[in-house]
Amino acid sequence: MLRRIITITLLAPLALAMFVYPRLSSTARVFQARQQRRATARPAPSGKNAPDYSKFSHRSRSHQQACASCHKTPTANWRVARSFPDIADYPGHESCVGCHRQQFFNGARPTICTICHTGASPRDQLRFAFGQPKAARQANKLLDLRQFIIEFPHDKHQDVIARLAPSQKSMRGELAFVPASFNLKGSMTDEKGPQFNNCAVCHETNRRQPDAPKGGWPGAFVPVPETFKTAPTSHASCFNCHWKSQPPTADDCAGCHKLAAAAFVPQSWPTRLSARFIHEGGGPNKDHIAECTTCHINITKASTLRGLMPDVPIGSCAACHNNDKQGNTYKQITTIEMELDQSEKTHSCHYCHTPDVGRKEAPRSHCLAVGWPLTKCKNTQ
Amino acid sequence: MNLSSSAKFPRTRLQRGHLVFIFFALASCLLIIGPPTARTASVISQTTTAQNPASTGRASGALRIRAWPKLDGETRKLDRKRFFLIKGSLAENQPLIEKMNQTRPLTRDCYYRGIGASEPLIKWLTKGDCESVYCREVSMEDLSGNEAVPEFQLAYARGQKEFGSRDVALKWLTVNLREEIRNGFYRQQQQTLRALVQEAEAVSKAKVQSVMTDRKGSAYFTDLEPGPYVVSNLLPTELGKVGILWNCEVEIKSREASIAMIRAFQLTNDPNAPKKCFVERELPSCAAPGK
Repeated sequence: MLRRIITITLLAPLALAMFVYPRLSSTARVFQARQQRRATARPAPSGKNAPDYSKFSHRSRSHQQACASCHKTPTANWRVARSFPDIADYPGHESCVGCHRQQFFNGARPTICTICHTGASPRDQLRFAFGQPKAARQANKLLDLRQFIIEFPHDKHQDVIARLAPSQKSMRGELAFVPASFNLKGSMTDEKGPQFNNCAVCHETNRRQPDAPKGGWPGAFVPVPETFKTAPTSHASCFNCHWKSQPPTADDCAGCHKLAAAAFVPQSWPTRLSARFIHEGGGPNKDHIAECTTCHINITKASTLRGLMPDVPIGSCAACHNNDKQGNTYKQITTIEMELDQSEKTHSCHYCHTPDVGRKEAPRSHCLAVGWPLTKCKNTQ
Repeated sequence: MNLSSSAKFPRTRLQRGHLVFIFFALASCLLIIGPPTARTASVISQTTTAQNPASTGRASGALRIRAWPKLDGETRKLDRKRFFLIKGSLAENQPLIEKMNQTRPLTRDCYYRGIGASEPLIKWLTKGDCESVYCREVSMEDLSGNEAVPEFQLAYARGQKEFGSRDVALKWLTVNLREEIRNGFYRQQQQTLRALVQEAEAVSKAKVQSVMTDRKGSAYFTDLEPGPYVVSNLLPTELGKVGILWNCEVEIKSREASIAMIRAFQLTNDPNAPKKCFVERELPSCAAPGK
């Protein structure tokens, strides 16, 4: 009996503590998460359960009619706003006032006006930039909140646009791809030859200084603009083929724009493992001119943007950056072997990587790519 | 009797003590593990991501192919051609391969002549090995002079009327072309390919991967489970006056993409190759009228 009492006395408080602690901590986390969700998703309404009319959401059930019921294709202002027919402006007042008459005529400064207009006043005609904020001359909203994700099949586009381009060698009847990264007036191309479509139709060399990520650039390394390629932010590279006839056509917004689960601010630049790689780099002669799909090996099979990764294996780099200098055109090149060697002393690979990545052990793939013993690459990830 | 009762008692008491101990121990364990909190869920998801072969490139196999057939005795690096990877051996996919051999798709020239396309348009398409008009930009040179393409001229005129801008009319020229001129040949090919892919997936019970070769005639299949596969182009690839259909068996071992990049599986049309895995046929002649 005594043993039972002792056992219960010892175990009961222990069990109680173990029961209460995780629940308390998880409850606190859940509570915190809820609070955060409330704070971000729904700003304080003026009254109890009152909708916030300063924000427009396509997710609202009553806003999920046919796109053309509000958006006109093209808008009347396209000649002023763009160099091509486009949806370049917000829908007219008639699209809103049918349901929101009450909010429209609510005092001198109706909140609902601030969805599109820079000022909430019937006399203020100025609007925030629509659809192409970075290129427009109008005022931009503080937060680049997006409600739609884009559906884009690289595989189909690769099929029809990525074509051969005549090079200087074309005089002798040979053909070569136009690398997306470089100037068509460059030495490899025949200036008078036909211009072939390729990745550069959508992805140009970036010329804008990239915005620093939250928390700053790793290792305080600020990449030059040419590090990155751009991605389309307007209809310019879509409508030239998809304006009409070729589906999805310009009036079929849902053909490309899919409503996201929640509004989001898009990431300005892709997260890189090799932050120091510059697309426009490769020494003074800018020798990083390989065809895009030579390194981005999975692009030609990508049928969606969801989960799409750049997928550049180290083998792509090893094709040039290796110690086989006899057969290598680039004698002065820094090689993977050189970096692996020096990292044994410095514990850092800094030619391609910033410290957040470079201070880790080299992965096996790096040794495999240059035929080095795996003992030099201890990272099994 | 008494003895046996007294002897039973301590045994029962011990069992109860054990039960209480086991109960509390189990309860404690369960409570320690507890319901999956946000943190444990996140750890689980991270583990899943880390174990995903696609994210690490470790557990999965990869295959590099190199399409280097010969034309008139010279090796051609077959660029911008799509290849497919079907799970299973040649024997397992035999009915499908038979079907591919029997399929006689229209060639580009035959298709465009069949729909009454102009000779300058066919020449324009052939010049860039184009399957549709989207492959290269139409320039002003294609609208005037000896090589002017009548279909382009008509579309340009329509565009000018519609957009009120020569620049837009030229850049957006394809929007005013008839569908069969625009990409009819490509669509027709896709229809046949889709049917074959569907059949391949039904037979192999696995998704068929497809990739396109680069300018060196190379392409990579990644995230592959080990086992036998068939590399195929499903439809004959036009090369000069012949069409080549490949169906080659490859064995995928679990290895990293970086190794796959070193050694490539070569697709040739060499009749003396140790494992001949292609069928070469002359393409039907659809010569221009009057030739």
